[in-house]
Amino acid sequence: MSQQDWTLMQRVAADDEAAVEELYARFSSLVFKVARQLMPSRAEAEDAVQEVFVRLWQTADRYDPRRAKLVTWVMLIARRHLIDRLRRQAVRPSESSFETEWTGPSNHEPGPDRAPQDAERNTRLMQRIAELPELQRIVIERSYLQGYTLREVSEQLGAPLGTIKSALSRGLVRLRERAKTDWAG
Amino acid sequence: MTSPTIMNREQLLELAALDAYGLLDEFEAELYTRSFHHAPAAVQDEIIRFQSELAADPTLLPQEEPPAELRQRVLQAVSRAIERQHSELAPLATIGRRRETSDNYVDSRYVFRPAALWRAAAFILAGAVAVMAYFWSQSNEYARDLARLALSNLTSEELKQKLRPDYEEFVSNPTVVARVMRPLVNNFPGSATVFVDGTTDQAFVLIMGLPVTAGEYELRVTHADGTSEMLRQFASIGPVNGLRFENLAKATLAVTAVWEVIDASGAVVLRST
Repeated sequence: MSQQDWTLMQRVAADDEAAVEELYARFSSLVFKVARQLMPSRAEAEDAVQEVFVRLWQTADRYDPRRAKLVTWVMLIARRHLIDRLRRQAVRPSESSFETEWTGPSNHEPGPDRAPQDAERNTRLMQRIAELPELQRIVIERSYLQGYTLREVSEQLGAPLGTIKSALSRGLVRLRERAKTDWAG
Repeated sequence: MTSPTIMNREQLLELAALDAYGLLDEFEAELYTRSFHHAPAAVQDEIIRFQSELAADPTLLPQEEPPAELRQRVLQAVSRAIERQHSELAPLATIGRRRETSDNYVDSRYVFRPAALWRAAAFILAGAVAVMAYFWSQSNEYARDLARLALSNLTSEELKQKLRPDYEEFVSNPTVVARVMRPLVNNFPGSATVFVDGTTDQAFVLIMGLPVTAGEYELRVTHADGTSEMLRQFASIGPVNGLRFENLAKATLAVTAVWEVIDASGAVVLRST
């Protein structure tokens, strides 16, 4: 159990703004990256990052180091908030057909505000997702990238929930393995 | 006898990624956490380690770094939120003079004596056996937290710190009308009471047992004319939550207004009667 991480979050919960600065310094990069992945624009990603750190302050006293490391907690709070934001804005496409192709949110397209190497990396990631078996691809797109719950995806596809969970787990593992090979090369 | 719903090591590991990414729904996430706490220490360590590797892995994420100016914006946003919370918890300057209550605020169908409610609540909280029997029948860890609070000698002080310093004074005011908000779904652990003071246009909402989730709840009021107003978005911070409002519109304070708590998925979980 990390005593330092627990102490840090206790300080954040006590409204210690220096502790919030420390939290930002440690996790802003990761939080921004996941916000950039899920939000349709850079501006929205930046707004979302502000909200995430307010959320981290609001929930700081609930962090339990016996349950997870601080990075896991931070990223869970971040992803949950980003998915809630997506739902409120209803920016997800209303896909219901198994055969419907999803072309990805705008931040996966090359744009003027993206560095060339980043655009290339994102394009390769989307290509890797497209190479996955059909069910894994769709489940990853709808849950991991669009924020649908697994039950919603199960209902959309008419597939058992256990099947959806397995597809997502295996798809993420395969995607990470392939992505690591790409970035190492 | 072991609960059939507790996951074994293989099941925990299979769903560890989904849990870490927040992709389990609320009930699955609670089951996962419950199963985690039942698992041997070695399995818990294995899951913690695996999930932290996943969380910290940038492989599937864009490589962009945040702009330098975002840091100051974030710190200011948190600072404002802290200030806002402090101002909301400041004691009232005045409860307000007693005035004749109008029919807008008093209705024999809805009125009950708040002071009696708190005496009853105090009796319940003081009754350790009664509280434990009630809360342990619920499979909800936050209700158990409240039971823990009730058993401690600091119950009243902890509640005051969690809510507001003068909450007893506010809700005991004879001009305050209490409205109960009930769950719409069986086995939902939360409930709430809205205390409305029409003479000062203030209200205080006491919410108990609301599941703590990463998403936010909304408190919404629908007026007699059908119009709706979202009063506040908030996160459940534990077994007891308190929301305070000032300068509310008469339509919001009226007994004909319907108060609702809505969860992050958009479902109404509590509604006033």
